[in-house]
Parts: sequence; structure tokens; C-alpha cells
Amino acid sequence: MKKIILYGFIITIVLVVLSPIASSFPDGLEKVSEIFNFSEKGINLINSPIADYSLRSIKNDSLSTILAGFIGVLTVFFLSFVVGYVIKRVKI
Amino acid sequence: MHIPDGFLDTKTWISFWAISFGSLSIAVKKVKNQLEEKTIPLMGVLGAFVFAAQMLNFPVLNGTSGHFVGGVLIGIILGPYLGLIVMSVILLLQSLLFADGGILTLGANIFNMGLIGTIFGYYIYNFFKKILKGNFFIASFIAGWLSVVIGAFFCSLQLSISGTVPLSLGLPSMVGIHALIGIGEGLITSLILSFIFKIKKDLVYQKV
Repeated sequence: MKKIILYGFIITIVLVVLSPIASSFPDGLEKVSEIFNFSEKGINLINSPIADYSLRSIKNDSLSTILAGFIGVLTVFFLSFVVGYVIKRVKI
Repeated sequence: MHIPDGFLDTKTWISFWAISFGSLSIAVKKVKNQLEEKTIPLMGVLGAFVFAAQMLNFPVLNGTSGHFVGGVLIGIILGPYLGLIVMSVILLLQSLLFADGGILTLGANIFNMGLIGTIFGYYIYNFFKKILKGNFFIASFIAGWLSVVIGAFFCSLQLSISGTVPLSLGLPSMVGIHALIGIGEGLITSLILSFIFKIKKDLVYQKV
């Protein structure tokens, strides 16, 4: 189990570092919304601090994406951990 | 396939919030008694991995990209219910922190990418594994592909119920593009499972 956790972390870090090379083409749903002219219907109801996986305060695009990725990875790890712990320990 | 706010009308997003959060509360009850302490770090690392993998869009057609969703992978390793919980954590944070998928549409996104991937994916994987006499590679490929295609099907259904785009237009294009993206989903799911099984053969959810 320890090995899986360790490898999992290493691979995750590699993926985050590689994230700037991701395709910037619109994804399937975005593309369909452009073809059929409903993309402008999309709105942002909450002011997400790291919208579109980039930190506005950092000028270098690649670095900005990588840092956004690390923030995401850490928050997902942390919240999954907390949720697991709460489910296990807290009486509902 | 993350639906932003504004694409779904009120009756649709409320219905899918109800379905998804109803399912989540059932999932929490189901896992409560069988969740082992040692599984908790695995939830974290798998969630983190899937989050990172979802950032890596790959091109599929001229001008379109897709990304790994990971529901089937998480469902196979953590089981359908714990899997749904971890997928929901990822989708919630993507919506709140990264504006990737809306907050009103979170229920629909949990349904399309979480529920379909983890619960449907888990059972379809085991069904095909049985039929294919234990060939986990092909079984997980099929489950990964199907989860993305069926997720896209539901997405086009939600869009048409909302009056955003008629089913006659939305369905063929959503399912068509995602039939290609799904090949990536299937392959990545199978390859990662092979890697995991090489290290630890028994790291899959066992029904209790």
C-alpha cells in the first residue's frame, strides 16, 4: 500500500509539471456549445480564485498553471482525507 | 464535459442536485461501516492523481480536446460508493476554486462524471470482466469508454430538457465527440490499472 501511495504522489507531481503542455483546444462540450451558439449562455456565479487554472498574479503562464495544479492537488488530497476521516469517525 | 452555470434551467439543475446528493448520502451510509483507516490516504492520493490527470487535455479532432475523467478507475479501486464520494470532492473543488463546472450545475456534473463513472462503471467493469474470463484490461477499457459516452448522452439530455440545444443536434455531436474522447479514457484506465496490479495485485475494492 505504501508503494502505491508513493508512486501515486510521484506520478501526480509529474502530471502537474506537465500540465502546461495540455491541449488548449475547447473540450467536447465547449466545442458543441460553440457549434450550436450557446457558449455565451455560460456564466460564472461565484468568483473562483483560480479560474481556468491560472493564478492572475503570476505572469509566466506555465508557472501559473503548474502552481494552480499544485493548489488543486493539495486541496483535493486534503479534502478527500478529511471526508474519509469524518465518515469513519463521526457519528451521523 | 463540465457544464458551466447558465447551460441548465432551474428544474433541470435542481432535479440533478436532488439525484446526486441523494445518492451521495446513500453512499456515505454504505461506506461508513466498511471504510478502513488505511484506505483514507488512498482516497487522497487517487483523488489528487485524478485531479491532475483531468488538467491534461489531449487533442481528439481538429480544434477539440478531451481529458481523462477517472470515475471508472476510482470506482474500481475504491468501490462504487467511496468512489462517488471522492469524485464529488474533485468536482466540488473544481467548481469552487477553478470555475471548472458551475455550482448550480454541480449536481448534473456529479451525475454525468461521478455517478456514471463510479457506480455504473464499477458494475459494467465487473460484468465485462466476468464475460471476458477475467481480462481486466479489455473490461476496464470498455467501462471507461462507455462511462464517457453515457455521460455525454446524459449531458445532451440535460441540455435539451433545459431548452439549451435540441436533442436532435446536441445528442449526435456530444456522443460523437465523446466516443473519441472515450478511447482515451478507456486506454488510460486500463494502463493505470495494469500498473497498479503489477505493484499490488489485490488493490481493488472487495465487496463486503
